[in-house]
Formats: sequence, C-alpha cells, structure tokens
Amino acid sequence: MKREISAAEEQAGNVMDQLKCASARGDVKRLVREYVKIRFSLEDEDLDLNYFNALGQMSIARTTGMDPAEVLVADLSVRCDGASSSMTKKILLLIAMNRELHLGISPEESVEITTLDALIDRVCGVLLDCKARGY
Amino acid sequence: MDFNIKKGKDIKLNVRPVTVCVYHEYVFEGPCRFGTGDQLTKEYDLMHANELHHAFVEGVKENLGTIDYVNVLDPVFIMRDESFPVKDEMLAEMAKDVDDVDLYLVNIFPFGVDFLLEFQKRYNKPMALLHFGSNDAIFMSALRARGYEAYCWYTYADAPRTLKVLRARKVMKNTRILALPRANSTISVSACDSFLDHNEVTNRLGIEFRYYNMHEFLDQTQMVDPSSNPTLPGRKMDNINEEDAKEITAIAKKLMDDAEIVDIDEQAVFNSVKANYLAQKLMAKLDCNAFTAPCPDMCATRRLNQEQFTLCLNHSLNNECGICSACEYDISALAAMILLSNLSFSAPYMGNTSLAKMNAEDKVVTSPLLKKDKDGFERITENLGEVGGIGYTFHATPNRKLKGFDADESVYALRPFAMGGRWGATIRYDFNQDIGQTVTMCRFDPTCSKLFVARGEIVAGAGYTTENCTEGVFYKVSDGKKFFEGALQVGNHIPLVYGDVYDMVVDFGKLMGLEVIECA
Repeated sequence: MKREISAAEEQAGNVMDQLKCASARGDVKRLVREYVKIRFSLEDEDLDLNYFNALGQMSIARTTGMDPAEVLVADLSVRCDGASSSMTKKILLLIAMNRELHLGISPEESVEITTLDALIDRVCGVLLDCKARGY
Repeated sequence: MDFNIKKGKDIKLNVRPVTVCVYHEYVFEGPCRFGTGDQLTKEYDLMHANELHHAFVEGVKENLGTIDYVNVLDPVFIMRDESFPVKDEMLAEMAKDVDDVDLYLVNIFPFGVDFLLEFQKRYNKPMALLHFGSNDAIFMSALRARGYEAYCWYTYADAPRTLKVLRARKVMKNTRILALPRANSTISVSACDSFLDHNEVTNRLGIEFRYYNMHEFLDQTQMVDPSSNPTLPGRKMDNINEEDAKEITAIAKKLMDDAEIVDIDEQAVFNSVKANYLAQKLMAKLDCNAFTAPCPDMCATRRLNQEQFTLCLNHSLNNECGICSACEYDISALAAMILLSNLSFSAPYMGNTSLAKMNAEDKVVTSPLLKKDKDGFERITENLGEVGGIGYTFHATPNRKLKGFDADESVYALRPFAMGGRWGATIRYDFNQDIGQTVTMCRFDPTCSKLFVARGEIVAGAGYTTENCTEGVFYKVSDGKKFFEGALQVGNHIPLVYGDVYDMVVDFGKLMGLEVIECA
C-alpha cells in the first residue's frame, strides 16, 4: 500500500511538472484530468462525472471497494468538524494546485469550483494568461 | 373586494441560517486537532469552513426555501480562530436585523455552543439545529437548561412541525381583533365562558384588541350621508356608499350563481354581504385581521331584524379568506380558530359543541335544532347505533374552504337564518360528503391557562337541506368521557379544522406554557 501511494505521488509529481510547462488549452485539460485521476485513484471513465462531490465519492468507492451508491451514506465524518472524505479530497487537491501553480484560489472561491471543468478553466486562465504575458 | 388586511395565513416565518466555524492559525496536532500534511494548515481550514457553510446554506434553501410559509434570510458566517473568541463584532454580525428573525438555524463546526450561549444572553431568540453527531445533544441541553428556546431536527423532514408551531405563535402575536361589544367588552351574554381578562390574553398570546361600538357599526351599514349617523353625529364615518354597493351586489350575485341551491332572495343576500363588506372595510382601516361580534346581544336590540341581516355569512366569508371570525363574541373560540387555521392552512368552523353519545349503548342526544331534518336525523341515529364517543358541533357558519385555502371552493347552498322573514343568508354545507375526514378541535379555557385539544373523525352531517341554526357535523372521538370532561373545563364553542394538526396544537400549548388537556 505504501509503495502504491509513493508511486502515485511520484506519478502525480511528474504530471504536475508537465502541467507547469503546458502552453495549449488542450494540453492543460489533458494534464489536469490526469492529475486528478491520479490523486483521486480513479479510472479514465470516472472523470466524466465531472462534479467533485461525485468524483470524491467514486474515489472512495474505488479505494474501499464499496458500491458508489453506498458511499454517500457511509461517508460520515469521523472528525467532529464535519469534513466528509470527498470534501477533504477536493480541498487537498485545490491546496496542492494552489501551491504548485499559484492559482490563488481563495477559500471563498474554492466553493464555486464544483467541477473538473471549472478547475480546468481556472488553471487555463492562470497558466495560459501568464504565458501570454511572458511569465 | 380586496381590502389590504394583513392576514395571518400570509405571515411567513423568517429563518436565518448561521454557521459558526473554527479555523486554526497554527499547524499543530492534539486531542481535538487531527490530520496530516495540508490538513493541518489554515488554508485547509478556511476552505473547509467555506465548503461546509456553502453546503449548509444550499441545504437550507433546498429544504426550507421552497416552503411557502418560510422566508430564508441571508445567511451569516462566523469564523473564529482556535482561541475561541466571542467578540462584540461577531455577535453584532449574527444579530443584524435580529428583530426580523424568528428562528436561527445554526450549523456549528466543531465548537460553537459557547458562542451561541453568549448570543442568547443578549438576544434570547429561538434556535434550531439539525442532528449532527454530539453537537445536537450539547446544543439542546445547554440552551434549554438555561431557559433558551432550542429545537433539534433529526432530518429536515422534522422541520415543518416546529416551523408551523412557531409561525402560529407569530401569527397570534400579529393578530388584532376587531371586537364589537354591546354592553361588556370582555364577554357577551351567550359566551360567558370566553376569556376573563383580555390583558392576560395579550400577555400570554400576543393578541391585541380594538373595540368598536356595535351601534356605530350598524349605523354605518346604512347608505346615508356618512356624517349623519345617530351614534356619531357630524363625524364623517365609513358608511356603505354607492360604489361599495356595486361591489356588494356583484359579490352577492356570484354567491347566488355559484351555489348549488338558492333558497333566499337577492336582497337578503345583499344585506348579509353588506355586513361583511363593512366588517372588512373597518378591519382594513383599523389594522385588524380578526373579527367577532355578540350576535345574541345584538339580536336583542332588534336592530339586526331591522337591518335584515345576521352575521353568519360574514363569519363564513371572513374565515374562508383567512380572516378568523367568531360568533357570539367568543374570543376564546376565536383564538382557537386562529391557532387551528394557521396550523392547517384551512378555514376553521365553530359552533355549539357537545356530546351526542358518550357510550355505544347510549341514545343519540342533540340540540333539537339538529332534528329539524327528521329523515336526516333518523339516518344519523341509525348509522351511529353501535358507535360511542360521538360529539357534534353546530352553527350556521360553515364555509367553502374547509379543505384548505388552496383547495377548490366546496359545493354549497344558500338558505336564510330567519325562517319567518327569510333573511340572514347562511352557507349550507353537507358534512355527510366528508365522512371519514379527520378533524382537529381545540379551545382555550376562560383563564387562558389551559388548552383542550381533541381529534375526531366525521361520521355524519346535518342541516344542508334546512334553514336557521341547524347546520352541523357529528364526529367520533377516541374517548367520549375524556372529550366531555375536557369540554367542561374550557367552554362551549370548540372550533375545528379539517386535517390532523393535533400534535402541533399540543406543541403550541406546551410552548406557551399552557396546561394541555388531551383527547387524542
């Protein structure tokens, strides 16, 4: 398990490095999707779910072997702060992407990024705009 | 007619969603701080808090925002760092427009009851919380132990019961009764069992009173120079005028056109509608939204006979449009009608209430008025032959919205109250069509310290085919003796509504600190 996690982290790191160099929207889209797929331990077809709450639930289902339909009921917080596992996954993803790509997604804005498409738009907006400006 | 009367049924409960969250300034772990890596950062906590608040507000809008009688106010979001400060500016933020807030629906992650208790010390407002882990028990026991109003819902499905009861309380506080006394502004000759002390009613229930001399009222039903009324010479009043008369004529015509049977002439209907028109005109002028008048006391002046109307139709028309209206100056009954109507969202019905049969083996004993339709009464007696615990309520004031304000108008007939002169229009409703319908009944006692509530099932109706005060409904209650003894404690007129709002009446009674006498 630890080896699998390390391998996934390395893989994600590689994708992030490629993403930092991406200069076309198509590449950004492909790489963000790949990055999310690795971080969430998903399959390609899962990404079509698009919504982060659904992606998070599918991630839990894939990891635990549960039926995705049962994940919502079972994903009760074990912490007294109310964080569900899928919510945690999304937040950690955004924090990592903020750090690596300087996206500047604020806590208030993070709530509005509910889909993979919205995240891709944000990444394109920052990365491609920076590149256009020569940063 | 569309007088601008603020009806109880249109009052909404204002609910403000509030999230109280904690974020950590520093990265550390401990007995109440869990996580690894980024989970221990402030950035994580802030994003998490925003997600929780957003999800909470969306849930409130989805589950409560679609309820007609609820108004979801702008949410408040209080974030505290791990020093758990309770600052004036935070309390002020939560308290914005506090007078308009009827209920705070709170969401606390992970601590926040301490903050809420400080808020309550200053503002003492009703609060509710959805079941969540340990928070709900801490919240409920901490607030209630300190005398604050707190509710917990296991799911949103439990919310309407609380919301309707709180809304009914709000409606009571926003009720202003136009009361037309003759000689005594507290009770009438026929309703000595009404409230003893109107100040106490205002203190306990919030209901206010505007007293209006019944002779001044009757004078204004005349289409004369409005400054020529004998009771108010030289003062320009609100007499029915030609324009009013046109509208009254149209209303009367529609009433007659839509009735299944009309056994009364147009002038008599006009006169009765006229009384209702003036009542609503004056309610609008005086910011009132409920009505009562002492019909027997008024009758004894002979002026109703002179004017050729009773107030029966007035009460029916008021009740069916959400303006609770009680006969005989029975304000205890009126308060019960307001409560029932605003829990069930349907028009109430009141009348003389009594027990027809306590036990199965007893004979059916009723007012002789209900025996006028001999064949009908015989059928009732036969059908109830082996059934015990039968109560009945009768007055010539049924209405067309017993099944709900939003329901289609029921089929009805129009017949006179006064059999000789054939005036005093009354709506006749056949309760036999509603056999099996559950009804809820209640009444406050004269001291306004007790509330009797009963559940019944309609078993028969009387009076559709007859005139005068012969209109009524029979219902089975669970325990005839309990019903009888409960009624003896509170008084004669025990209003009813269609539907089962029994539990909410009990909740209301307990909320208001009343002794609840039950006949479930």
